[in-house]
Amino acid sequence: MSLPKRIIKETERLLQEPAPGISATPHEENLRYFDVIIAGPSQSPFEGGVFRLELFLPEEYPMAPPKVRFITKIYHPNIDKLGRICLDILKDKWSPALQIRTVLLSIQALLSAPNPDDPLANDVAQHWKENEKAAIATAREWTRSYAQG
Amino acid sequence: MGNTIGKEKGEETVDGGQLVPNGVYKVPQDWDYRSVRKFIIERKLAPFYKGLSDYDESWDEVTLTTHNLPKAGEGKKSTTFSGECQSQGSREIKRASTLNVTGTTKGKEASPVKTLESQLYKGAVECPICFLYYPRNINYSRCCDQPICTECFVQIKRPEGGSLGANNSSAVCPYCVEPNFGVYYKPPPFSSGVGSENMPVAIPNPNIPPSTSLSPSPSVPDGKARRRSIHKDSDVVTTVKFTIFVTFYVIDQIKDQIRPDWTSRVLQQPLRQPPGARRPTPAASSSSRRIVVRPQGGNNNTLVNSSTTPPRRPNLPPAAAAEYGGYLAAMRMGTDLEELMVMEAIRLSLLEQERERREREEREQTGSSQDENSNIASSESSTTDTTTTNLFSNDGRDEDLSPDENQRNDNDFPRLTQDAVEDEDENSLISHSHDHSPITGVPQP
Repeated sequence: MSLPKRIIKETERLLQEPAPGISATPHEENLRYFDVIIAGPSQSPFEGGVFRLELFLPEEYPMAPPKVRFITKIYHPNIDKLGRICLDILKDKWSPALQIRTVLLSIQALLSAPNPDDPLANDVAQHWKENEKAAIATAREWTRSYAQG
Repeated sequence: MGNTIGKEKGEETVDGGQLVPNGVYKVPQDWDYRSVRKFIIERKLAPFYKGLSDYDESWDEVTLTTHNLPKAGEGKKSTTFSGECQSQGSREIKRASTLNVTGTTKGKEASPVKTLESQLYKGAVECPICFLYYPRNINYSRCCDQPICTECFVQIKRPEGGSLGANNSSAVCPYCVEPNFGVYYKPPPFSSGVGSENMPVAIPNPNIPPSTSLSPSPSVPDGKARRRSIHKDSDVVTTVKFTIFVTFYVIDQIKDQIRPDWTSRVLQQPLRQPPGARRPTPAASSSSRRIVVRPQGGNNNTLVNSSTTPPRRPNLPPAAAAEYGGYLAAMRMGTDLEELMVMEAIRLSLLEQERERREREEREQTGSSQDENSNIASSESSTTDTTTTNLFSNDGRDEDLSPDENQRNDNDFPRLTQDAVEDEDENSLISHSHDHSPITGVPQP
């Protein structure tokens, strides 16, 4: 099946002008499937980490959001142990005017600003709320242990 | 491209564009072709212009005309661009090799058409949703003045998770998330084609450069100028119900203008397909509409709210009150086939419940008499109950990565499927509402 022009152009632009700290590379055999790498934002507990994600553009894209998941283990209240991400734009707040780039930038921003009040990983969120310092320490530790590329 | 544009329809043009889509979107289309056609002819919505893959402001009129522009309204697939370019200069050959216009490509052109098209595509704008280039007179969102081609516009719809009631959420602008998304269209000064005889002779439009101008024009129209003109402009088409827009102009406050049967069609209407659009498989589209779960008389107030157009009400079969919830659950499932399956499961399950209730009552009353249906009922009970339970357990969760969904839709996503299946506390994970996440998307201009 032919790839919509939009996906081709988005991919070209992503490769030509990658967003800082983000890379997305399509699989050769399936151009809707991307290997993504996001660098942990500075001044976050994820600083220094290299996080791998997978991104898939469903048939309905851009009318439906891309599916994105962390592959690298991460200690974050809005990301569960399967790497699923709690982000409104990946669900009901998706807009076809958003793009792969904006989605990945939003995920990067989510790393800088965890939101334990809207958790996906309950235990992590609880930890974050009860003892933020300790939770951040755990996140750093996980970054060191699991996110070194 | 899989397009099957009928010759007669295909030859109808409005302002140099067509009345049928060019097949940018392959998934089954659900908008009302006749309404859209009417809006195009009334110049309330831009016609379906061919989108160019590429555009460069430095191209002069000749380059544009001979190489990039599809011959709108012609169903021919006679000449490809590269083929046509052989006879032209080398510069054009290079340029054209990078081009590929979706849909049909042009055939031989008559010079009047050339003029029209080169005027049209002068200063073409990129539709931010399909990333194709269109004449700058395409639709603009009334809230934030962003261009949107008609093919993308008709894809925008109300969130399907919404109920059919008064609080049904409207479609939001894809760019600025303003509710009650609507667009307006200004025809070019050289308006032509179907319905043009009824148009005012020349519509002043400062955004369209004079036809004689050869100088490259700015590709982005002056947003402020357009913005100011909005309130004079009554030609706004929406995908939503909305109230009074400007005081002197009230369009139907209730209906989705391009899906006028939004409320009722899910209950009973067959889809009207635009002739140019790809059709879903006949089995999926038609049969799913035939199996219908309708609310009982008593439930009509829930379903058909006072501010919503009442759907045509057929004779209502007896059914239990739970149907409405089941119907909504079915709505959220998304695809026709799923909808069909859910509705069927619900229907069977409800029949079953009815029977069981009757049986119980009869047993209580007579103690011994047997209901004729009880055999059938018991034979069906195991399957239908299971199905319904499963479907409801997923109801309304837009958890993209739930195992069920992966297995159904995401064969291309093997790792997810695998991992998700291993997840042991699936239910606790997906039971949260994630409507208010910290990061909200900033639509890119």
